[in-house]
Amino acid sequence: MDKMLGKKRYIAIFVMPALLLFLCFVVAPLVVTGIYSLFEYDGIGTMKFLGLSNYIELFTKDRYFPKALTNSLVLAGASIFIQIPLSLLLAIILARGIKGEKAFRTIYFVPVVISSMVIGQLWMKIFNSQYGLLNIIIGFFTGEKFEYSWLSTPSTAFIATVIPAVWQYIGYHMLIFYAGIKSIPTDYYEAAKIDGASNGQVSLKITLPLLTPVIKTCLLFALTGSFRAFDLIYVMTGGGPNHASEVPGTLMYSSLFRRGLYGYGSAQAFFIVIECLVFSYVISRLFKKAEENASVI
Amino acid sequence: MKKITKRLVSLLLAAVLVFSLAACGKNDKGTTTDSKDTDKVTEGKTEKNTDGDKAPEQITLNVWHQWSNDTNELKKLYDQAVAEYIEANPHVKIDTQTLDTEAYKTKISAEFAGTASGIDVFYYWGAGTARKLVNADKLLPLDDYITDDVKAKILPGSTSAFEYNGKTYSLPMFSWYMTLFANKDLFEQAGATIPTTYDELLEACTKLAALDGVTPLAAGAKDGWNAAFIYQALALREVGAKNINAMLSGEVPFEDTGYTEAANKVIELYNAGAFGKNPLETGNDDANSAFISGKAAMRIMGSWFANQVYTDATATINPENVVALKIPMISGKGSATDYAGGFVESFWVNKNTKYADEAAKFAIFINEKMGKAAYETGTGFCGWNVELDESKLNPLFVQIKGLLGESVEGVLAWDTSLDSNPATIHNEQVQTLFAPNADVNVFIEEHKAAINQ
Repeated sequence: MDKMLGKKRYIAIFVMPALLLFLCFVVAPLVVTGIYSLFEYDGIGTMKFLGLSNYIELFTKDRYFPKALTNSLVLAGASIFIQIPLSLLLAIILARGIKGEKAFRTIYFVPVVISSMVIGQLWMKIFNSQYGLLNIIIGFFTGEKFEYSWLSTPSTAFIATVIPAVWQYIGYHMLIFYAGIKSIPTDYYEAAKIDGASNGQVSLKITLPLLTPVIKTCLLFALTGSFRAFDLIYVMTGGGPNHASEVPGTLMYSSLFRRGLYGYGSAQAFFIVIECLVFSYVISRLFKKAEENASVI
Repeated sequence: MKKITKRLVSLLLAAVLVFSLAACGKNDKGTTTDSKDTDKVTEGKTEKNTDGDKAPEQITLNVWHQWSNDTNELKKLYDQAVAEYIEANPHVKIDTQTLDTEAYKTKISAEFAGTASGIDVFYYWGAGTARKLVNADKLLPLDDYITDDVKAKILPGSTSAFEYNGKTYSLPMFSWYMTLFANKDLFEQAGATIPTTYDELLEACTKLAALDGVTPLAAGAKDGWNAAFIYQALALREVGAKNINAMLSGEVPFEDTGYTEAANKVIELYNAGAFGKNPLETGNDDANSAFISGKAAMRIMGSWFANQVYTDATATINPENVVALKIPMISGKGSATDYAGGFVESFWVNKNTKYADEAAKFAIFINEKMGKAAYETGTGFCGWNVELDESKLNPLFVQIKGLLGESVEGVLAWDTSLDSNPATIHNEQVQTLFAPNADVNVFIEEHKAAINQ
């Protein structure tokens, strides 16, 4: 076996299938999208080369793209500052071995398993103006019938989609954190206990530093997930009303499949890819030092 | 020896993996489609590629349409028509594939980005929708195949959505008619009169809005085309069919003050509570069921909706109390003979088909048959002057037929006449009128920018 692995030819042969898969289904479509984004193209007729003007139009002429970008940043902010801390907190509490640990773990994970279409429908019912749970609760406290349409009013539509988006993946990140915490050797905790450390101190001084690589992974998922958000928002508002809840993903869908602007839509798609890559790089750099420290322990 | 075996085995393994990958890549085009109905109409004949002079060559035509639901009566009638065709033309095998409307549109676009080699004849929408395909030279003009016999059977004025640059690319199937459906029971309860003019409509809406739990006019504005129907109805009366058609075909710009007036009227209706408090919250299906369950007094919809009033299992209203009306008139404007609707759906032939003659012959045949079938099931109005069985028509559909009889010039739904980009902008902009603080100036400016290019 050693002999076989030692030969470069064998390595090449065995890597080939995965490499081909990656090239065909990841790299090639990306390149094609990148090429389309430089053209004016309706998907059927002839292509007209435009250079970078699709990209320039995104930021100068497009009335909705900057707004969509801001929205996706708000979503990313909500994921990082609300979703991740909440999941971490839940994971730490669960991993401590509370009663019904398994049951809670499953319950928190349920929204992740359910399709976004279903989640969207569920929350649409909660936000409905006539029979929505939220309005009924507000009506109960104020004492009069409350009929506010959260999803069809421009000022609240986007926030109303952020809430389920953040809620849905809390369980997902919690499970990753939970697995990370469980993989930390118990020796450290025992040693800390002997030294008389409190629960809070243990979490801050042992769990968190050792969890750094996991936190980085979760942040990456949360951030890139927010930038390419689409399904939930498409189901709940479709980017409306009057483009108030648009994110780059919904605009891209509309350009490609409704308005028949393949070149322009590809530019939007390619921008999302670049955005995700840049932010992934930034996060990796930010965590480099912390990860080195974690590995020292 | 051992070494060689090892090498051979590893090479073989790699080869297996690579080839299995290649198999993944070659995704068969037909896998996403429903092939059930294919089996019904084919008799398992094998194709012969030899050019026999005596017997006609065995050929297979690949046909695509969007009546994918098994409960759809048109699908059954299509299958019957195909069986009839095969009997008369035994050398032709028809291979039919279906997909749901939205998936269907995407599929056709994707196929025609290439040569669409798996499609010979296909269902599509004329006017602005097929223009893209015509411009890219993807469709076969049927002029050479339309015989005098066929010409004599086609209703006059029914082919305009299928003609481009002086050529006819398809023939009509059936048409639709935009109707104001009204529930007389609710009008009586509210003490309102059935509207024939815009002022009466506004007054009726105000009275109906006072009823508890009743929406005067269910808009379904969450779906852009539903919202657009209401605006288009009012614009039809403000601007007139002739001017709108000229605008949609690019002959005159979008600038008539009537377009602004129509937008103001939508806002006026919205402010009078005509569409309920939050019309953007409900879509087409919700609005339809609100009407058939007595929660909405009016609905502006295509003639196809008449059938649902009678056949939908969830309907609770008495269909006898529903009346079909013309779009209300605006005093001093427009013509009562203008209507919204017309012929737009039809079967087309791919220019790259291997069997142009057979495909064209089948397309003409199926358009006639489906036009007849649509009429006899109360779905649409046949574009062919042929004998029609009226025994199964519902009374509401007969009423609409009467209204259509009084009409002269029709305007298609704007989103089927315009190119896809202005069509999308139109639908989106109309939706903005169904919310508080709508801005008519932005509405008009956006339309001008999209349409007057």
